[in-house]
Amino acid sequence: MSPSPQHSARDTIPVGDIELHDDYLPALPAGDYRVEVTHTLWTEPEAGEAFTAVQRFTVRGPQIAIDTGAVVAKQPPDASSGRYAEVLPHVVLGDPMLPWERAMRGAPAGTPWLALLVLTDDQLVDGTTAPTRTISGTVGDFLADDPDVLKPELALEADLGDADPCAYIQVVAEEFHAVAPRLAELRFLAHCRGANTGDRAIMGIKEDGLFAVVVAGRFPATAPPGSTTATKNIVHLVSLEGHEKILVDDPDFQGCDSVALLSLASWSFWAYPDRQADFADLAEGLTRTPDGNQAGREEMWLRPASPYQDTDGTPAPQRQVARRLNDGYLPLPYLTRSGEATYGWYRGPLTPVMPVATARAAQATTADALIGYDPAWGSFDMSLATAFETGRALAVADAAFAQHLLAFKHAARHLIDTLYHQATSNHLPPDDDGPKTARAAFGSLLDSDLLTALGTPPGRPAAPWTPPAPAAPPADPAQALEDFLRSDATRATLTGALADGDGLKDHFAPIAQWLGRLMLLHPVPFTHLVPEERMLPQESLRFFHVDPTWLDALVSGALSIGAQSSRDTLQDQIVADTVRTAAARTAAAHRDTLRGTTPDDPVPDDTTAGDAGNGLGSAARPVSGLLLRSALVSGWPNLAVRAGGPDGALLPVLRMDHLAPTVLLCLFDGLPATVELSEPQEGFRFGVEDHGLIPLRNMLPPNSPTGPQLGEQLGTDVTFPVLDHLRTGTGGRVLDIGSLIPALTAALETAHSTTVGPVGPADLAMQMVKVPEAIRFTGPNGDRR
Amino acid sequence: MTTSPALVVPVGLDALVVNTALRGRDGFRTWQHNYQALNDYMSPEPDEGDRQSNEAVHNHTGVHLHWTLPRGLRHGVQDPQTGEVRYPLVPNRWLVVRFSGTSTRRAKAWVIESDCPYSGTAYQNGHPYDRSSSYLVSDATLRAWQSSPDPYRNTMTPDAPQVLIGLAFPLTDTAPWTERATDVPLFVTAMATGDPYFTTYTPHNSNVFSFLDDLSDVTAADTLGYQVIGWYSDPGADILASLPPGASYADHLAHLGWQDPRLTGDPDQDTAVTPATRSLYSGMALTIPWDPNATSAPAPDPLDTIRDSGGLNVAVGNTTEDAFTALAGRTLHATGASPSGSDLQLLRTFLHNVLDIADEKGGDARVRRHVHDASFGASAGGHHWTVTPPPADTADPTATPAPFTPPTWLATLNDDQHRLDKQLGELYTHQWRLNALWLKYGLADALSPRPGAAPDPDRMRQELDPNQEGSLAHTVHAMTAQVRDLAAKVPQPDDTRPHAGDHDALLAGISAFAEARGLTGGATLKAVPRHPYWQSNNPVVSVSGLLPPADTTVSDEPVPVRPLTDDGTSPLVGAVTVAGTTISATPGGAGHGAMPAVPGLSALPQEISALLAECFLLDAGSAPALAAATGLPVNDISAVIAAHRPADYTGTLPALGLDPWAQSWEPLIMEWKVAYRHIPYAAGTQRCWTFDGTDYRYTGAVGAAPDPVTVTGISGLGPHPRSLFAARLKEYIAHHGTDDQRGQLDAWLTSIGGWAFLAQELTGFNERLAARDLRAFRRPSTDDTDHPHIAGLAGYLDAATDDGLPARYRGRVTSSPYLPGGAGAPFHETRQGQIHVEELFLYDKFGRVLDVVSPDTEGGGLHDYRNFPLVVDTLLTAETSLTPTIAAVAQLPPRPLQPARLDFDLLDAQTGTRIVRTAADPNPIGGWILPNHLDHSLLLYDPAGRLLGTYRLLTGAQGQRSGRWEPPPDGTVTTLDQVAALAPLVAGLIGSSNLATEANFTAFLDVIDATLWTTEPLGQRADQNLTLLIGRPLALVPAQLRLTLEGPPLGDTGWAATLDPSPPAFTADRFAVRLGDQAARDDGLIGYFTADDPAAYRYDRFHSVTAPDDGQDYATQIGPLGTQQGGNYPELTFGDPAPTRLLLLLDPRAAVHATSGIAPTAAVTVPPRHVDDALRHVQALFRFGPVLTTEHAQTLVFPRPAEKRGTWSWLRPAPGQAPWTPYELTPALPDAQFPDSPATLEDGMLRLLTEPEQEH
Repeated sequence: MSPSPQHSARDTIPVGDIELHDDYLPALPAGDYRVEVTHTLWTEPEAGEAFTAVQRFTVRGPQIAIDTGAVVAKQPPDASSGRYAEVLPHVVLGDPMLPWERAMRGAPAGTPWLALLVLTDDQLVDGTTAPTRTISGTVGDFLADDPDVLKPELALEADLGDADPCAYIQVVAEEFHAVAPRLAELRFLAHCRGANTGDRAIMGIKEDGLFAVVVAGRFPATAPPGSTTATKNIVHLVSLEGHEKILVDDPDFQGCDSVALLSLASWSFWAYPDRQADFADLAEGLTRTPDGNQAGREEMWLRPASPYQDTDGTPAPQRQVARRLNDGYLPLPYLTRSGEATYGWYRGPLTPVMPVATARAAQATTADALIGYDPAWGSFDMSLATAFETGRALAVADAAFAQHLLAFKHAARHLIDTLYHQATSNHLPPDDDGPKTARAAFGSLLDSDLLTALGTPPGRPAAPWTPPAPAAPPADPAQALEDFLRSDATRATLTGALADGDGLKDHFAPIAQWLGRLMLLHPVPFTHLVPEERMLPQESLRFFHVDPTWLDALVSGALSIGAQSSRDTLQDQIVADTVRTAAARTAAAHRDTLRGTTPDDPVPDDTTAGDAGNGLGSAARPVSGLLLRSALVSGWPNLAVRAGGPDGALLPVLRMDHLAPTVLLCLFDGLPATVELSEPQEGFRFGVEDHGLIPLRNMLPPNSPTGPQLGEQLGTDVTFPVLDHLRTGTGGRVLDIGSLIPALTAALETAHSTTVGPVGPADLAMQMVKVPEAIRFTGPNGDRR
Repeated sequence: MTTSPALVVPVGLDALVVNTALRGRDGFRTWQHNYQALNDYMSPEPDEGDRQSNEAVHNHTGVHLHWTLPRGLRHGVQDPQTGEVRYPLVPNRWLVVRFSGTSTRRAKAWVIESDCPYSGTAYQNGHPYDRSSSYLVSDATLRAWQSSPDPYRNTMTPDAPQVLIGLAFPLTDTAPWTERATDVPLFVTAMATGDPYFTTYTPHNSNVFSFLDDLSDVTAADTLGYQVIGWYSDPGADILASLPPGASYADHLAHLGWQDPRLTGDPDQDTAVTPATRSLYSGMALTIPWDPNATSAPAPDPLDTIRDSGGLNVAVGNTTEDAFTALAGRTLHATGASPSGSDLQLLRTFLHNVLDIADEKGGDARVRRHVHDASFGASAGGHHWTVTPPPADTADPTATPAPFTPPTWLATLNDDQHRLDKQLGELYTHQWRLNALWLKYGLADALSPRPGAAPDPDRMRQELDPNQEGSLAHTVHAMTAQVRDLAAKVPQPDDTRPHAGDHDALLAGISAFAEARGLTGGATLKAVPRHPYWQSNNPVVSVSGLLPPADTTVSDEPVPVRPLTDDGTSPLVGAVTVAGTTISATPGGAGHGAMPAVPGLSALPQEISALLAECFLLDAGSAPALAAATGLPVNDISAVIAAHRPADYTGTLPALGLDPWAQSWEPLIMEWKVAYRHIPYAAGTQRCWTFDGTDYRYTGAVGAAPDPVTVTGISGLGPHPRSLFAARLKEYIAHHGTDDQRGQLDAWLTSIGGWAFLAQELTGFNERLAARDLRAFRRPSTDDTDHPHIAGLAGYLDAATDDGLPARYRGRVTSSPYLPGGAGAPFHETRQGQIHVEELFLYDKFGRVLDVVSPDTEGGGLHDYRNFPLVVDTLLTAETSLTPTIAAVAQLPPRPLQPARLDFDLLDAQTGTRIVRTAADPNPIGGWILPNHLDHSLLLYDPAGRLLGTYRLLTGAQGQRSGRWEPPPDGTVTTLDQVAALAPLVAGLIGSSNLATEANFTAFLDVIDATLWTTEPLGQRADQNLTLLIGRPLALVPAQLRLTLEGPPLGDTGWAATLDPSPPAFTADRFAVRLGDQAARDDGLIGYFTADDPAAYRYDRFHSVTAPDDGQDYATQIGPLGTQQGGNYPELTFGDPAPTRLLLLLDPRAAVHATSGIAPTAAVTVPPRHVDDALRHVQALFRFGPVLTTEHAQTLVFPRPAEKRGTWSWLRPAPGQAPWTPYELTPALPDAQFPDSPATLEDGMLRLLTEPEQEH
């Protein structure tokens, strides 16, 4: 259990594992500092003049507020209700150093300045307008003298003023004494964690895989067991800076009724004494049909339910409808250009069946070319045409992209013109390696013996001589240019130029970037993905394949803007493959780019390297995914989704985004055999199992390959009664750390049959962990296992 | 004599040693002006075939001396007020001293009075008249001579300005020379007679700037030294006597190109320098061996060397650049490094200074265009007036300038100016004819017998009578009056107060004119020059292997001169130190006593004595005499003197004349005889010339051409190719050279300075074909008793009358009819044929001839003209030679022999009449077409950008597809009649039934598309993104083409045509014009429709730049380029009564080029304002669909486009002809929200209405 981790944890730790550390101390805690240097000049034999210099500086740290984004996870979730009686609420902070950035007076290093207080309404004073009883005011309000309220002895940082806003609470003095940890206990209620974040939705924060966790020392208040009433619990992350004096067994409240505390974060939840809407229930609900039956795998594809059966007994028209619906199509009203109202089949990019790839979409230059007509049934398939127009509309809608695309097309056109000019100019020697401009060619002519030769006196001319005539211009310049453009050499040069910094790379990169996002369907309106709600009802999980043809049509549409002549079209076709490959590569790396794990260079210089993007989305390398519409999404925004391939290996996640508070979209690089939803590891809970016991875990490194792993339970029956160590004389169930730690240490030494050293915050956290809950589904590729 | 400070200016002194052997070997070409011929109405210049050879006086044995006037004395200065070029007076007294003898040096001296006339006294005193030179003097000079006490002058007759000047007076003790003409004003200048060879060609300046020492007194072999010292007889006439107004001494010397060492360049110090007020000119030619009994000519002799080796090449081209390119190719070829086509193309492009153009897309074609156009010379084409709006508010760049309406009188002014320009062209031609008539009238009288074809003298006299109704003179008088009237209607130079120059006076006049018309508010009236008229240059001949005359190649560095002041120290060489002994000299024996006396020095400027002593000490020929006097070894003295080391001398060595003498030959003049075979436009019904899209090729039958006509001429030679190459090289290296090349530049320039290349156009070639004579001619004067009005009517500058032309329109008669020996010459209306060189020879300042090409196979030209390997530039290559017996024939494709122009103008689309040149003019755009090659449709707009609907292929009832118009979806235009009212040209285009068939419409779209392949899509104009999204807007623009001549067609000048000119024939020849230039990539033309008459375009046939597919009958390719069978081109004649109308379809962001071959490329551009205004208002419509959308509160959910300058909406189709329903757009978001209305698929249109606030 090392203190202060030095490495970035997010990728060195296997997905699903965590590391625990006691703390993560800053080199210098926040505060005002003074450096004083005295230089005494020795003029022998005695000391002479002394020079002194003073430099003041401030190490800044959050003091009265933290960024709203600093809280990565709250447990139990905000506004959730559940069987939380045996859970110690905790908060996960994205800044792993935050709890230790400020020093507590009179406490050793490693003592956090933050604590998580679990309170009930009756323990709080004022602030009745806010659900968490928070009072919004200024620093001045907060610190103003009040005979009834005990204020912290706070030395404000230099850049803070009385007018700065802050949020605070006032806790009844008695209750504060009952609930607040003692100064010596504080360090056991915070620790640092490392976890791999690869399987999480991107939360928009700069993650480095290290987190700080602050755990409450009190179990939530609940109604007695068996009751169905939920009890409201309010959690506040408070600053204890300046309150050191009252964090003792017998505090002096100086006659105040209440204690004012800065609240840096807060939320509330409802605790039931029994199991109800917790993770496991929600997750299990997803596996059921609305009528409560266990859903078959067929019922978990993204498609509307068909009123007809695709069986031999069904009449042909109905059977055709059933087939279409089963394949993910929807019949949508279609208003044609001539004003007629009819119906057309539409299927978005997310399909319930393995799509049949066709090259048409990638070559299309108009939507009309992609309208499918089924003469047998007289029906139109508008899917790809719509995809094309969607890409076109999105491109037109994005002025920056349109600019980039036009600049790129112009640059490519310019490049081709230049190459053609170089290849045909009658000013340039025919060899390929020669000078590329007339100026340069003349320069090399000068460097040859031109001047000398011209200065040579002529001899007696004998035979008539005719100067060589320059080549005549091509009879058909457009045809000559087209032939040139279609030549393999030109194609190769053009392709090469896309990766060449001197060529088109600068113009090309933003386009690949944008198209990469497009291929991950980022800008695509949701109705295009799920045109009807019945395809994705409340509390449902739907799997799908991503249709590469649809994506091709989408990209074709986006690229089609600004094509003014068939030359632009041909040029587009030549670069299209490269563009699509680069876009796919960007798509594959998109999530990594967002998480900052790869350099911001979506187009690797070495295009030959076998990289993540090659063939992404093609039939050979399918993309699949799931849509989750559930309270799980809002309750566990940090929900972990892991897709396992047929071989059990994890599939890379291409995209995982909340499309709405309750809708999560995941795209995987491959077809998952299994999909597992689980509570996030770093957000997993603390608490006790039944009867207030915790299983004891191995604290020593494995002594043999078969020996217990670090953190592995020592045995189902090796437990420790945590609830035996509660503060006495108080209403709530507040851990008495002072008695818990020695007892736990003794129990562990017994269980390990050896000394395990002093038990620190990380050790306590490991022992108190409740295993995150998870649910596993059979994925789209499950039956191929 | 005055003692005021003087400058000693070095002059070059050349000496040609002629002995009997050389006389026998070399030919001499010597000719002079015969001003007496003017009396007989003939040119004072000889006819080319009539120049003298081997005149005794000019190839006499002895030493021929020629001194070259300093450049500063040969430079004219233009008077800013009168425009006249004034040349400074030149020194008119020259002392020539010859030193000869060995141990005893002898001196013989002459004083040359350059301006002394050859008079009766001169004759009586035995001066040979043939050593004097022809000159034309003024009446003032004649009167001054009359009143002079000098018998040499006062014996001149007072009424003959054609005189001989230049006498040499031997200077002897017995007959000392004294100045006799102190009160006769000086008059000789470098250009007084208008003869460009006056100062350089010795037969023109004998005893003026040259002298023959026949050495009759030197009978044994000897070593000669010559010194020439010049001065002004009147110190007041000295170039240094007074400074030009406003100029300092330093300025004046800088202008003269002289470097006084006392001047530092620091103005403060330089003003303290005492200006020299006199100038002395000193030149030397030293150590000239002379042997009267030699049996061989002096050697080495460059002329002899060239004649022996034959090492020279000759090339012909349209321009110096082209001829030199061909010649350089030949030179490179000869070195074994066979030049590739690209090498030569690079060289040509480099010389034309268009390497940058070659690097542009379509560079080859653009260079070709440039090179073609460079073969024409411009003459002013008149003016067009425009009014520029007040300057935009620069403080607020976003402010849209208020619409500016030009004043209504602008159109009237332009009409007046146009009529004036046209009338002037007519008048000039009539002036020329009047002048010619007057000349012929006199010539016919002078000729005996009178030419048979000459008209009756009475008739001619009547025509010369301005009072005779209908006479030529009367016509000119009437036209002059018309021009005067018209000129009063347009701005004229302000003559109410003085101005710095013509231009300032004109600007003041324009301002006054505009003010008088009430133009205010910051708007400005401006004269825009109209496109000039162009005439093909004469062919240029370039010669390699010969050095140009040294005088033409001296650098611009100032010449060091030496000031002689009273401060006691003379900068002249006063002594030479040999082996420690300092030797000085004085004429007549003081000092070391070796220097001979020079008689009569006392009558000469006092500084001459010292100058002579200097020459003596610098002359290695003096060594034996000095040795005898000092006792030093001859060889030591000789060696020291020959080395001319400054350290051995006291004083400053002169800048010129120290090099030992060598026989020289530097060609000065080229005479040529070219055989020209005119190839008529057509033989019978068969055309002889075919336009291939760029120029004409001879494709007619051999034998159709008449016998060749011989054209002769004389041209001065210059080092032009060398200086051109050097100037281009400097510029190239400065901008694009590598460091290495920069380091080599100086060495390169030096080596170029040694290149043996010459070039000269065949001066007068074109004029000769048109039977015009550029030689000097007798001109009418106002004191002509018979015809006093002719000079004024012909517009001579000095014959202004109150009812004559304004001064700025005068002085246009500069040539006369070519009547060699009084006989007529062949006249050609155009230059179109093949040429070969029959004779070509060069001679130097002394007249020594090098025959390069000669018809005389015996007599010893370098080449027989039949197999002369003339290098013909590729542009003049003859594919089919009419003269197969000649090895090298060049072809001159058809060109008018007078300034001509291809007028290519855009027309106002509304009226179809007014010409559009500037943004202040009416709008030429008749409508817009937006092609969409993806969905095969055309969006149609009116000129202002209003949508008029779509034209596309629709499937009819029988399944056939045909092009049809669809009204715009907004229902604002519902019938084709409405379209025709809003944009008749657009209606015409889509109204053609021929366009409607599927194949034809497809072909139309295809040729548009193919043209867009090569047109640059845009200038880098960022504001056109929207336009880019919807495509490339093409404009329908009416235009007209016309071939015009400056003035009426050229007429014959022969006797028979004098009063009865035959009507011009070539004005009926049909010349083709190619519009568009796809290869050059800078041309926006898609194609055009022709017109039967101004109102009726032929919409049934589109003439396209690119080749359409077969199987259709709508589009026909223009040309095609390179065809030899005659292509699809509009054909024009100079005689067309009206312009040829065309309706162009073009990308307005590029110019449209018209290539005719016979004139430079013409180009038109739509003024950007007309384009920008419309495109700002274009209603963009995107066909979209199917799109997936939902309707939400009367809006449609759709990814909303980002264009900020307008409102986007969705147009939902309605059944039948009902207008489509507009919907506002709600942005479609990727958020997972299920809409409250069902998703639908829709086709429709996305529309952008721009600037809605200005729509109402």
